[in-house]
Amino acid sequence: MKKKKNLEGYKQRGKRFIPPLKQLPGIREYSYVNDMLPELIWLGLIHDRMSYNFGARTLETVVGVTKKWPKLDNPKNFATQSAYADITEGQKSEIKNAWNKHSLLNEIQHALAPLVLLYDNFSLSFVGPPSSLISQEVLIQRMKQCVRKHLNKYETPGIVLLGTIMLTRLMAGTIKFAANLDIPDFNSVIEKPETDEAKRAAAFLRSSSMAEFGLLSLKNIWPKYFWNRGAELSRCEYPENTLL
Amino acid sequence: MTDEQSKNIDKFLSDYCNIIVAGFKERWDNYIPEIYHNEISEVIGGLAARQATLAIEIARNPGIWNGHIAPIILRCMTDTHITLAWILDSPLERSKEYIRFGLGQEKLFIEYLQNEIDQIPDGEIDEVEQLIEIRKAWLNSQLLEWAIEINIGSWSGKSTREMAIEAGCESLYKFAYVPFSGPAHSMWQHVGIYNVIQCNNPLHKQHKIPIIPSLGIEPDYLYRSSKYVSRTYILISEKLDLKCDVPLPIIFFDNNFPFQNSNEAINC
Repeated sequence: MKKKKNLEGYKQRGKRFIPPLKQLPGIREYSYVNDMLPELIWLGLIHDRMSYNFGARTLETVVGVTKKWPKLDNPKNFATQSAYADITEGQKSEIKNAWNKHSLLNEIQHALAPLVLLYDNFSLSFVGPPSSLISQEVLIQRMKQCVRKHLNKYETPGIVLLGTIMLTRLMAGTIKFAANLDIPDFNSVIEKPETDEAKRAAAFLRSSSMAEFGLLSLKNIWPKYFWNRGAELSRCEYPENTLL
Repeated sequence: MTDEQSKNIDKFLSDYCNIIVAGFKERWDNYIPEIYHNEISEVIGGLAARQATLAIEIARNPGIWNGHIAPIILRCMTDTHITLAWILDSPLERSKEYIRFGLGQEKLFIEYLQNEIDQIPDGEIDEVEQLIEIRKAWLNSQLLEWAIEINIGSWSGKSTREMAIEAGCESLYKFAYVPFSGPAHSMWQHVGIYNVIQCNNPLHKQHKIPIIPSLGIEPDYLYRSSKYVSRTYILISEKLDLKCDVPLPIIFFDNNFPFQNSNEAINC
């Protein structure tokens, strides 16, 4: 048997060996944790407090409102928090009123309280604070739990979070699948997460959402602020039984 | 060495190690890490912790305070300091490059292991496969394998001398890094002094014959390591604007070393 060469497929440029996929032109790298999670975590807070279904209704209401707005050259995806950064005050009111009309607003305010009250630049802060007082300690704790739960894009909460990008497009009717395409059942991710069907659906959601995210070309202002704010809010924590 | 002297040195070494840890901890506690570009704090914190670890390990092992072993560690400490000082001049770009280089080296090693697996005796294949899996998992937890470039040059694109000059550590390079490189690489300037001796047989043209000498303890090596770790602490305090009330290890050494001078310690 012919022996495989070391670094097969790599291309040498000076003293560097470039892997095959990075030789392709126009490749841009996005990180789920670094860039996508901060954009989607507001929905994670809603999923945590209420349910995945409630999160879907939240997005559905936004899509219903924004469908009437003038078309943009670069369409937004309202699953991302940055999509709300430069909408007008009037448009913010429209969304808030729609959530209120569908009896969603109160729970959204409670769910998003950590982001509204602890993160100055959160673009959905127009929802306003919750009706009851919550201590900073509790808010930080909730944020920590939520981020920890959604850190892994291969586990259900992370998969669902990524799926909201595609879900929003489906709701808006801006994405269509060819009739001959064998689309997996997306509900299986939540209902039967251990099955092959769920794994196929998860892979489909991950790849399509990551591709869509790349097309949105969002700036990294919010992700950068979000992660660095985390360092201001709470100190490093060493794992148990680890001494500095 | 009397019992009392032994107790004194034990206490000194224990307190000295505690000072190194406390100095690191206080500085780190005052530091707010950049989380989005996490490479910066990971590399700076990791290298500073590495320097502290080396200083502590020297202190805990007086048996290596000799010309055979101590210079190897001291050379590593000077290298660590120069690397850190150079990275701190452009933290984002250089810490990323430092990490990428390390991941590339790991990827290359995994390739070597995978491609040689058919040469491995049957009984050891499982163990090697497990080793490959563990190393791959570490690699993929940071950057997916398909995105890892391999650099077979210097990680920084520069020699250590150039890095030292750029980072304002030229004297450290000239008077510590260079002389300690001899023992670290077992070069003749070290081996010719420590591991050969002139043969007494006049018929042998005064050639040199190998020796394995047993050397005594020289606390000066510990002193030098206290100097290097202190230099690193000063560097991170200045560059990252970190206040620290814990005395520097070298100050602690000067004020608390239980012998009047190194000779007294050597003669004990």
